[in-house]
Amino acid sequence: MTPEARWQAELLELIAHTGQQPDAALGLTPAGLAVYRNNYRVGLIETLKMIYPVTGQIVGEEFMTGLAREYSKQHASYSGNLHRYGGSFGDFLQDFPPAKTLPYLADVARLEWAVHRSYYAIDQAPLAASALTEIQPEQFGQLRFAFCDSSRALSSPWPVVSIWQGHQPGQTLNVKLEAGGEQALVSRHAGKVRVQAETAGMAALLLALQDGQPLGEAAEQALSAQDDFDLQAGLARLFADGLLSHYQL
Amino acid sequence: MTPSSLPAIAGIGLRAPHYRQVMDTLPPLGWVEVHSENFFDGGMPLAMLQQVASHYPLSLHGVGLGLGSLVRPDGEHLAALKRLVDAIQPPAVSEHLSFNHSAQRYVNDLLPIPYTMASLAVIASHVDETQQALGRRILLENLSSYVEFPGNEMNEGEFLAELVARTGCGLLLDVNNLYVNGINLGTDVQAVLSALPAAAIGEIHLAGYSEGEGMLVDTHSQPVHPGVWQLYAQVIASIGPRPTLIEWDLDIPPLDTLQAEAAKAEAILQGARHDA
Repeated sequence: MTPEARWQAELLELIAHTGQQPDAALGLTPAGLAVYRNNYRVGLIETLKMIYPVTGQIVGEEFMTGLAREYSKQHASYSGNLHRYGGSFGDFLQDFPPAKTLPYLADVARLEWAVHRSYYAIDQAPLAASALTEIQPEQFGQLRFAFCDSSRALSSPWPVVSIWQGHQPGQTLNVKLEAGGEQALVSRHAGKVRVQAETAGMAALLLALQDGQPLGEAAEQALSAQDDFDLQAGLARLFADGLLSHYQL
Repeated sequence: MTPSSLPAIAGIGLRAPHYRQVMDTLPPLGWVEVHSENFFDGGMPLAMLQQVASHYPLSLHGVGLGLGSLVRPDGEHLAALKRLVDAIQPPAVSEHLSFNHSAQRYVNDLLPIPYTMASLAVIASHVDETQQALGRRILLENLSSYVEFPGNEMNEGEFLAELVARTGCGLLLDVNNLYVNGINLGTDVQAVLSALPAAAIGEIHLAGYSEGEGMLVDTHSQPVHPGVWQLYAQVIASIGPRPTLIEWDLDIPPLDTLQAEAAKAEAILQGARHDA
């Protein structure tokens, strides 16, 4: 490593780790280093607040700042594009003791990450049902599908969709936590991200397909999750809502 | 070959609080600039930017490639930038002469590079790689910095001039950055300016700093300061009119405040047109 590359690597570490004292040979003034350390911390905290507005509303501004600060200490940025930072915030909340009194918070954050990724996801031509006309009916059961980057299904033991919707502008929150879990589908329509609750059958179908399972198995899981699930209508929706990008046989 | 095909008039940085107003009312703005990364991938941001580009000359200004990092540029980032450039085909694409990552981590900031012959060779190869990937010339911007590599062998202007000579890239001269470096680091502003090849300067940035603890911080949160206007007028008188951008990124004021700042720049550009 050249002295120049070593200087760059050490400066990055010093900015991210506020406790470390710089070696005098690096030629860093305390005031100069402080500017970068402050930029770094504030930048990551503000990024998390932007991606997780509902989480922030639930816990309040001050607690959210604390959560974001703690997360940013534990999780480095891995991209020059800040819109890719913070994907594991939900997992962090799950394990972070001060957030344990709000057991649904982690899933709300996971839903917010799916919304964020959907908003920025690359534009893809959705798979049309007509693309499957070549497939022999007896092969349908072996079909596997890839979801568009803008589509994502999530399952939660908490009513996350109702919580999320109740925190949108102009909405009032009317959620009974004991009402049980909800399954969310996040998808994008003409640029707008849609979050909706799905029936047990539809959710099982979506989650199994998203997981890479073949259509036959996904359909079985949907029917066992919900006896009266209308499989025909459920399959039609995959295409009507443009959730899929391609198939594999 | 001109380094950018933006018009040599004043424009503004277009930021989220003004998207709606600009698209609904299409105010007279000479040209606009956005941060490339905010429009990476697709969806509504990209669709909106395509609309903006159909009404105004548009400049794509990257803040995240960090091509001054002495490890290879991130291929994924470069590919996303290429998709955006291909989709928009803007009159100007710019990046900073800064670094933001090592093999271990990213710091999403604009960090100063060592101005040495050894880093020149590496960074020139990164500029080449970027220009080849994008299939076009890019503009490189000088930096506001708060620390310096202790073994610098040249000033930033000399380093940029070498990059222009080796890669054919253009320059984006940020007058505010140069001004704050003069105060914060004691940079010899006139020496940097005189090292820059004037013909390569394809764009100019103006912004307002704020005063931190013993430092002027390049926050883009204020009107352009009088000393910066003065330096800008000197530059324009010396090199002639150039596309000039008003940047405002924090505590963003109403659009007409930005337009008023742009009008001040326009008056200085107008003076230079008369003198020419």
